[in-house]
Amino acid sequence: MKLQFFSHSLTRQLRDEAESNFPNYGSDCSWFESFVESGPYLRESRYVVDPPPVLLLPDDQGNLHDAENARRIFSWLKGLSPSTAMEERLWACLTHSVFPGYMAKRWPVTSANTIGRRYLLEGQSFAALSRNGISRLWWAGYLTIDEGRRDPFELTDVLFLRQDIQVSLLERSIGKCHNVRHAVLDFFLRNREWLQEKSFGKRIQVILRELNLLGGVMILDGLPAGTLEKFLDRIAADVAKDDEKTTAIEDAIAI
Amino acid sequence: MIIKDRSYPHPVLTPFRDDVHPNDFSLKLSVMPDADNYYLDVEFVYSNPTITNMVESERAVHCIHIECRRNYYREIFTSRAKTARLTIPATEMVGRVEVSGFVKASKTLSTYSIEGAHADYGDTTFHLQDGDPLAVAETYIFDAYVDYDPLKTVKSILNIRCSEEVVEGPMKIDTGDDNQIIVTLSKQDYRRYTDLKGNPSLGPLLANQVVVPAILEAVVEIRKTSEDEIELEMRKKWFRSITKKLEDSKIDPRSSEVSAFDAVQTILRLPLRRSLEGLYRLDPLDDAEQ
Repeated sequence: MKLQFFSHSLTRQLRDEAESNFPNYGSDCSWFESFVESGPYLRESRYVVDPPPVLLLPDDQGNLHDAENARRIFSWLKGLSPSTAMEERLWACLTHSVFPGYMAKRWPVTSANTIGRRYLLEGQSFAALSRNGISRLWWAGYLTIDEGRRDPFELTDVLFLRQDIQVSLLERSIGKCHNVRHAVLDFFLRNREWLQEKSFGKRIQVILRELNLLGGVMILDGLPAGTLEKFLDRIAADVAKDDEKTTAIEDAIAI
Repeated sequence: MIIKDRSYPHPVLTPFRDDVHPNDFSLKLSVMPDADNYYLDVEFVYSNPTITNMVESERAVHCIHIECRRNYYREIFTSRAKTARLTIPATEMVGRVEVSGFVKASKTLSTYSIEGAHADYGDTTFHLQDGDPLAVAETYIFDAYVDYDPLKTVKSILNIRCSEEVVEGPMKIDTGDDNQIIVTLSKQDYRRYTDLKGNPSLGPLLANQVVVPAILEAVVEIRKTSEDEIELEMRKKWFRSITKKLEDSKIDPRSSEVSAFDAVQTILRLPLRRSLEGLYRLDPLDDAEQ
């Protein structure tokens, strides 16, 4: 089958009418057919793809299955070029027409903002690609796949372990740097105990800030993985030390 | 990555600062797109003997850092030569692209000093690591779009439609669409337009009745767009196409040095002349005999 996408006018209409239309979004998609009844709205791309995969729905135990779904979406659309993967019309079609059930469960619509952010692309920045409900899965796979590993999606799994990791790497410019992105994910793979830390959110912010500062006076792109690994280990050791000090002070104050 | 003035812990050759004198270090860049690739011809321009020697002795390397603002494309290319041609697939970059050029240390330099360093540095030497910058040029920005559609096929950026509601009334021009300028004619005018455009002599005249005001509106729209909004507006195919056509005609799209109307006549290659030539070819006797 050929990969389909929406027309410009339908995408625009969905955005323009989001405010009045958002209560319709949900697992019952029957509204969509009447919404688009005027004229053909589906276009065919040149991409020939297999039938779409089944995406896992979030369960009651709080498992979102983002990592597994990223594997499925990226493997399904592996031939997509980055420029095509920036097309709002494609992601609008996949969120509304191909995976509406998954979207309703994973990203329930509570306001027009959710439609702009999760069903369409919100703005022109690269960060918007990491927010659309389906494009984020594809880009996550694209940016973290490493064919040199026994499991090429090993780092994809790490990316989705914590929301803080995704935001830090996919919505900040430093995460665009391939070797930094992979080095940070590899660091968490090697130091899984960090993920259990109460102050993990703060720790990752400090690590990325330190890397950013380092990038201000040094060219991080193209540095060998081993060098970056050493930098990260050093920064992380300092962060952990400071964190312990802060925690000790906080505990002392609490006492 | 846009490189601005930064304070480095060691002397860096850059036009932003007086760490090193003379502080001439620049990157010349020309970008040529075709349907498949962007070809970036780069040339580093500098005269500092220390940097030259560092590169020649493989202790430093020229770097071109390319980052696309709208997606995750961010790559670094290195070269020993001062000139290089980089080929980047057109599918990798869309929108604004930042190109930065610098020279970085490619191995540890334990006693680095540079000829021409500011007197304040005295005889101090520096310990540099792989990745430390030795020279930095100003960032160059270009817009990556390969679908330039010169106006020889005006219809690709101009859509002439029949109004669904207005039977008789004025022509409307809408520049809000991402792909095309939409021209809407009243039902009666659209019928007249389609009836008459079959006549090859009337074609240029009729087309220009619609095309000239539409392109004029577009040129005015481009000129009204503030510098901050240009990047956003460049997502529109018609915006890019007309901007490119103006640039090809050596007209600054943002300047009012040439009047908007003169600009339109230049890019449409004298539309009035072509219309009048068409009228000359009309022979009333031919019509009478039909």
